[in-house]
Amino acid sequence: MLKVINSFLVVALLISAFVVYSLEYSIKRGERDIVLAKKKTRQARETIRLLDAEWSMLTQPERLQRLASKHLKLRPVKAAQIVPVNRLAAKLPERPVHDPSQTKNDPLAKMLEDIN
Amino acid sequence: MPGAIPNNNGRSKSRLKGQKRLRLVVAGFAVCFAVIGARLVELSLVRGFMDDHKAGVTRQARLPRPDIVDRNGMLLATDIKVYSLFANPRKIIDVDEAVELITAVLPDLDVKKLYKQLGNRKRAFVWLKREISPSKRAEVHNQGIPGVGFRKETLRIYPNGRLASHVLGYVDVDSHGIAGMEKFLDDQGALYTASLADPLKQAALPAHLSIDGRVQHAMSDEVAKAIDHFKAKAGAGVVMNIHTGEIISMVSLPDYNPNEPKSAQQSQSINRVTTGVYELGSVIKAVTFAMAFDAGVMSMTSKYDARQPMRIGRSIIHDFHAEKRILTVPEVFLHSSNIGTARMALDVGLEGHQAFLRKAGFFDRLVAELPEAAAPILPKRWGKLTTVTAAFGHGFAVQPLQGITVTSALMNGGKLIPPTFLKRDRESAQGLAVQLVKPETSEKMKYLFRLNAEKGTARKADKLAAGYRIGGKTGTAEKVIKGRYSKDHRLNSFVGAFPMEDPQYAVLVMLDEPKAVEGTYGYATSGWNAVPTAGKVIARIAPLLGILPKLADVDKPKTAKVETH
Repeated sequence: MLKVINSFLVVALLISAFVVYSLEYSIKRGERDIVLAKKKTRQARETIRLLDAEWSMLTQPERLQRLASKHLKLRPVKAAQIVPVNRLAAKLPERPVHDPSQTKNDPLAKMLEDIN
Repeated sequence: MPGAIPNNNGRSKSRLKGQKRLRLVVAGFAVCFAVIGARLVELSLVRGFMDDHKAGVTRQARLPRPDIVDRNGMLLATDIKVYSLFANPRKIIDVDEAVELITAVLPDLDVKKLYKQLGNRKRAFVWLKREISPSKRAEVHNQGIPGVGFRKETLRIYPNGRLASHVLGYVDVDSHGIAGMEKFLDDQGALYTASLADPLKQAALPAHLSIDGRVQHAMSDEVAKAIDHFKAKAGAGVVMNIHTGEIISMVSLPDYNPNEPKSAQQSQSINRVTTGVYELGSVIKAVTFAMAFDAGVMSMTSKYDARQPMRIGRSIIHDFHAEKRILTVPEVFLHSSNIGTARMALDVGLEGHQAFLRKAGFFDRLVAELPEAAAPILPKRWGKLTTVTAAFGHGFAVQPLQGITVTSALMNGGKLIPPTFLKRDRESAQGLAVQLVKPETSEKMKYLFRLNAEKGTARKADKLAAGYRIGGKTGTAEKVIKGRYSKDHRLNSFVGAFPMEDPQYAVLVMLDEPKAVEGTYGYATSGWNAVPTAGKVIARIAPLLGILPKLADVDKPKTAKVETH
């Protein structure tokens, strides 16, 4: 009787020890993953902030105005160029004024070509 | 038990006793394990789920600050991470070698100072250089000098540079707000809030300003051009939403770059809109008109005698554009008659005049969010002459922001709304509003403002911003130089609103000492410089603010054509 109980306890001890240790290791692994993921998130957030700042720096209205006046023919919109929707029909030209295939000096298209 | 085996009977008896003991021990252990097990379950499962994020606030060398964005979410101020180089002189083995290596990478460091810093064995910590670039950091790191290390720091940057610098303010080297919105945020405890924020969740909400970056730039660009063209000393401009009190744009030139706080400390780069107080001159006449309408002492058909200069004691009040006849109320407004306006104020009376100016807030220091707000300069004693001069904006000096705030009240149905640099909705603005004048008075003022743009001194602005139905009042105030009013030093201003049938935005443009230049026929009054500047500003910002133009038929023909290539 005692032998049975003892052997049962020994087996139980071994099994539980194995389970506990494997649990502990998996938890440690999990914790390491969490720390790593947190570090990566933090780095990603920092990168996002840096890129946000850079984007904001590149889209400064002052810079855009300088570049636009240098490279584009577009000018600030005049009051006369704004047409309410309900009067749009009367303002439509009979055929499309702008035919992309016919234009030769489209500065934006040229810039794109230069990049490629 | 072995060695003590009496008879069979005694053996079974003792065995029974042993079994009983064993059971007791087993039971004892079982209870112990059960208690431990229960505690384990409680700790790991129950408590574990309740609070799993106790630790995690990271301490940093400098406190993080909330981002500042404009009303459309454009980033105006943010924190980025940089590295700063420090040394522990006690751990440095060879000072000469260390100095040599460091200056090889960072040639702008002062060698003598570096020797002194590194040679001082009494100290265990000394900053060598703040804010170095990642590549320099890698170079110094690879030299492997003992006793030299880096600390990660947050650096405040303003990616839009000078844009809205007077609104934003700036921070010192330890990220404490020194001026403007930055200081306001510190005082509100925003730093503390941001420091508690989980860096993983970006929980710190950005501060939303009322400023619109695009409008701000348009205003800044036009005022800068005007300063250049009219050879003015300085200039300023404000755009305000008259229904919410939000300041859409506030420009004061010369300005500074908040990324280089040293440039902010020069005296000419003060914020002229809130830090400076000025005698606003004729712009204040609109306030006197509103007061006289509201008090019931004047109607649109009243007439004022401006045939002769007005004599008060030993002083004589002249008109700048003297008409020398009896003027109707609209004529007093269009010709900006000092005499006519003075008579209105006298009709209201000294007490009533003071009470109205006090109600309009001209006697108090106006503080929106910016801590740099100057108190008004008021006359020490209020006599008849004071009322007369105050009626046309002389003898008392206020912040230009106060001028536009009251003008907004005259245009929005009479509600005086405290201005703000933070985003605000219309409902909460209405809760803060004080009824300054009756809605009918506001209607009359709108009529006069529009009339002045159609026929009066603000014509040039109306022409330049055709279609946006502007209205406004001009002011040409002579500046006090050495205690006397100078004819050659002027502070020119325009304050107006658009679109006049239902005003949405108020605009203020100010030029300090503009000169007569080519094309102004020798004139340097407001109508020749501040007014056209305001016209150009409105023509640029109205489409950004969603105001649809309505062109009169005269202006139309040129427009309908579509350019063909």
